Parts: sequence; structure tokens; C-alpha cells
Amino acid sequence: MTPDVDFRFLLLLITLTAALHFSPAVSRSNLFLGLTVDPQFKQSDAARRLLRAFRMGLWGSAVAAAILASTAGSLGWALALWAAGSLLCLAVARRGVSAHVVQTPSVREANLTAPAERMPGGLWAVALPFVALGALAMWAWLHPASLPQQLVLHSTFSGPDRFAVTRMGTVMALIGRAAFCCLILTGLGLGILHGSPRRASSGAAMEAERLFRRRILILMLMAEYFLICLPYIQLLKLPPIVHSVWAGAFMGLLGHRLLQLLSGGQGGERWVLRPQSAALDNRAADSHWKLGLIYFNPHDPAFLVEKHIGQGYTLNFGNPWCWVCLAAILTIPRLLAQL
Amino acid sequence: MSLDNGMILRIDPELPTPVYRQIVDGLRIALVNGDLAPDQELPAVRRLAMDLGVHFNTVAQAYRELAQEGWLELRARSGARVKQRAEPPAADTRLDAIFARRVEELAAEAQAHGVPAARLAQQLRHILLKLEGK
Repeated sequence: MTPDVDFRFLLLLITLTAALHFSPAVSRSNLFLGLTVDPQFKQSDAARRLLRAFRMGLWGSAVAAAILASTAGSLGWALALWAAGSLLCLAVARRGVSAHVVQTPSVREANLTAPAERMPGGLWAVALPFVALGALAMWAWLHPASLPQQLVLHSTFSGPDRFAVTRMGTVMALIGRAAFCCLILTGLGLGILHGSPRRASSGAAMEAERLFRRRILILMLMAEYFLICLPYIQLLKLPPIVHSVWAGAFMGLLGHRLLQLLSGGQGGERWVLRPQSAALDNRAADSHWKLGLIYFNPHDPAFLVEKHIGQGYTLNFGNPWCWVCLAAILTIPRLLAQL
Repeated sequence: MSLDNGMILRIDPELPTPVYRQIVDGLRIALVNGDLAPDQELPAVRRLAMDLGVHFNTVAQAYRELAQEGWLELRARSGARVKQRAEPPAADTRLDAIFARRVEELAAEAQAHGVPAARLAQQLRHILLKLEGK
């Protein structure tokens, strides 16, 4: 095992464990480890005890995985050990919470007069990355002599480590990969906008939720604009400093935006002056969630739903379109790699 | 139905009344009371279905029924707009009898569930006053 792999693996392990460590803190106030509880319960001693045991178990799994990776050198098995340990901790903690679960009401509501939400920047902001990539592809097609001798296929913290000789196929695959990533981000953005239910239908909670969604959409658009820079940097043979500036700016802005979202809690709940949790109805009932992580509800037309643990959105695996999209996400990059 | 930061439509899928009927009834109350004014845009079928967690066809059916009654104008891309509805002609004796029967059924059901007659009468008076005063 090289020190480079070691460092990356440890970083991944720490990031994943920290994400799970803080996930109960950013969930909605009526959700605890993916189960619906009274918001007061989260402040109780019983909840603190359960959370402490869960977090200790998580970090214990991470330490065990790190030891396995450094002694046996098998990163795959180490990651599997971490995942199994974390899921076990989650299952045990949820068992403790189950005695405090409250039933979700069956009444559902929708605001009939809420203004429609749109993509920040409108259609142009969505289309521009694709137009820019199309223009780059056209330029590469017309000026093959101006292209670099080789293209970087993979980079690590210490720099590029895999290259390919430039052919028109590899150039188009490079641009195609960026376009595909933009397509996924656009699809997710549209899914959040038009394919996910609003939890809060009135008051400050609704406003906070709208702001939260808008910030997520801006984050996705920002990621798209950064992604399209990569093929430009490579194909226009820009100096390495541009790549460094790009990486620094990307990480900085991404980190800032993520922290901003995390500070708001799920659905921007914490941006509301007086904490006001959106009503959860029975379509988000715990029974539709597997371990609080996977949502499966064929009766819900939603494509994306708010996560039950942590922050952000997850797919409704009961919706057949979710499987179609997953299949496309898994197969299209392989097809592009054939070019 | 409430007017807290906008018009809220509530449904309960566990009630014996079909969901599409609950949507029609909820919207009709808002339309009759004037809470939804003419030219007001209603959410697109997909949007409302998503928020209520029901099938798109359920909401589409409710919109179609209200459009047939003359309350809504259905628009391209599954939207709907509140129409300026012409005053309906006075109900004939057959319709009178149907609604009298429905009020009687409602009163009987309320009594069967322990709602006092006086309370029901008060509710009806309140609704009528609201309708006359709009």
C-alpha cells in the first residue's frame, strides 16, 4: 500500500464517519436516526445516551477499518467492515429509539397559492454549460493540430498519474463526460424543483424550505460551471497554475456552500427564528424507509424525497423512473469510455 | 382549508371519501367562498399531486370535474386557472330534492357521530352567512 493510497483512504473514512456523526444534528427536529419522534425527545437524556453510543460505535468501526487497511492492505474489505459496523450501530441505536416513535398523521396539505419555483438564472443558466461544451467540441474538431499530445485521465493529490494519447475519440469522451456530469446535476436540480414534495406548506418553515432548495440548486449550477472548466483547461493547454487556482476555488466555494447549507439543517429548519418543524405526513412514514436510509414508496409519485437521516435528497426507489435513471447513470459513462 | 400564508388544501387518504372527491370538495369550498379569485393560477397537476402524495390522474380528474362545473379553465402543460363563472340557472325541483336529501343525510350522520343538532345548525348558519356576505 502506497502512502498516497493510505492518506486518501483515511480521508475518505474520516469524511464518511464525520458525515454520519453529524447527520442526526442536521435532520429535521422531528426525526431522530431516521425515525419520527417528538421534537422534545431529541433534547432528552435518553436521546443523548443513544446518540453517544451510536457515535462511539461509528468511530470504533472507522478505527477498526483503518487498522485492517494498514495491516492487511485490503481497502475493499476495510470499507466493507466500516459499512457493516456503521449499519450495525445504526440498527442498534434505532432499536433504542423505537420505543419513542410517534405516529405520523394521515392529513396531507398543499399550498395552492405559493408562487412557482424556478431554476436560479432560468433556462440560460441551465443551458450555458452545454452550449460551452458544444463550442469546445466544435473548436477541437476544427483545430486538431492545436490539441495537446496527451490527455490526463486521472489525477491524485500529487498530480496527474494516468494519461492517454490524444485522438478525436478521447477528446470527445472527455467533453462527453463533463456534459454527462452536467446532465446528472441538471436532472437532480429539476428533480428537486419539480419531482419532490414540499414538506412545509405555510409560514416561515415554507419560506426557509424554499430558500434551502434555492441554495441547493445554486450549488448544483456552480458545480456544473466548475466542471466545464476542466476540459477547457486541458484542451486549451492552459498553464498548471490555472488548474491549481481552479481546484482551490472549487474546493473553497463548495466547502463554503456546503457549510451554509449544513448550518440551516434539513429544509433550512434552523434558519427559521423560532424553530418550526414541517409536518411529516404518513407518506414519509418510517415504514417506507429501510434503516432510515432507503425510501421505497410506490404510491408516492415523488422522484426525490428529503432524506430521513442527514440532509439533502434521496431517490424514491418505488418510482420506476428512479431505476431508469440509475441504469443510465451506470451505463452511459461505460459507453463513453469505449470512445 | 385555511388562509394562513396562502390557501392550504388538506386531504386525508385514510377517510372513506375518495381522494379526488376530497380535492374537488376542498377546491369548490374555496371557489364558492371567493378565497380563490378569478384569474388565480392553480398549481400544475404534477405539482399538486407531488405535494399531496397522490397519483397525477387523481388531481387531473378533480381539475376536470371542476372545469366541467365551469370553475376552472384547464391550460396547456397541466395548469389550471380560476374562471369568472357565470351565475348558474336556478336549481329545478329535482336538484332541490337531491340537495335536501344530502343535507338530511349529513345531519343524520352528524347525529349518529354525536354532533348535537344545535351545533350542526350553528355551523350551517355560519356557512350560509359567509356565503351571503362574500
